[in-house]
Amino acid sequence: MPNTYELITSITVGSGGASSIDFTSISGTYTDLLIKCSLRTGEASIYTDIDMTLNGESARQWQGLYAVTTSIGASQQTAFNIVATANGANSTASTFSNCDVYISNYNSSSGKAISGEGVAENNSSTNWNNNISGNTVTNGAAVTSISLVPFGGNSFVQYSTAYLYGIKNS
Amino acid sequence: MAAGSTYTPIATTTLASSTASYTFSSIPSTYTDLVVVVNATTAAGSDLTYRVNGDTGTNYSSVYLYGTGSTPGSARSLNASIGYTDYYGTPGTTPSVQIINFMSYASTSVYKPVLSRANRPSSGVDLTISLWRSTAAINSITLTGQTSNLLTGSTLTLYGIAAA
Repeated sequence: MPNTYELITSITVGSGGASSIDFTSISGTYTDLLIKCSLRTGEASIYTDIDMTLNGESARQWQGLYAVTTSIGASQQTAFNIVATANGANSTASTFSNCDVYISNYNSSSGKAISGEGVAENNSSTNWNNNISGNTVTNGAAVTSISLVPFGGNSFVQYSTAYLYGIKNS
Repeated sequence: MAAGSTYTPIATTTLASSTASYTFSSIPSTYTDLVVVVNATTAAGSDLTYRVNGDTGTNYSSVYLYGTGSTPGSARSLNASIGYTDYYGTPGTTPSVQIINFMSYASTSVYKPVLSRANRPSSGVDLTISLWRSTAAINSITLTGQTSNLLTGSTLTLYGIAAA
């Protein structure tokens, strides 16, 4: 029986923290990509939005939308690239988020559709984050590198992890 | 899922022409769950709906959580003759990517829960939980653009996941 759901690589942030989590030299041998991540940042907040950058792009060709349980999501912004969430420094100690980011047809030359969902639980009746998001990238290049970056310029803390899987449809 | 687990492509298609629906048939019962990944467009905007085993009875219900850029909301559909996989994240002239999970599909003891995520950033993001009220094992799934055809180039892939 073929196994077409393969771990490409994993990253665990070390003791110094990291300003981004970067997957590079992604091969074109799969149909879709899936990132499973568990994240926490040093931001003085309960949670932090996580941006995604593809191929080191500087001019973002993104359109996105998300819904969260704690606030109203931003809508249909042309540079909107939030795909996940992370616990922040003000959330319960040692608590990390849990997120999936699915990148459909990442080798396409006609744009990519991205589906994200995540939770940053905090054992609190008032502060948590539970979100779903959708993004479209009109940049036509195949995806060969992916970066996850905390919104606002903060860093991921030690033990944040991200796993990149490749999925083939044949 | 850890490497080494099974996530097996059963069937895939890229539509060569505009079509109202596509059916995955003769689905083997050798897996635990099924996942359908859809990346689809329609000319006029349309919900993506499903029927299982060709069942046209009023055996489907769906509950939605959605976001459109304003206040997130919820809705539901009861005793319907079709199941829905989306609410606002529907396929339109821009693509909707949908990941649809059919749980315990081979069971002959339980009704079948269906979990789906649908996104179209120009319209909405949805989390849908639906139910097919039948204990029959699922052997076919038909996906339909309810009011507008699925356009050429839309892709649909069916995966099987085995727990062991």
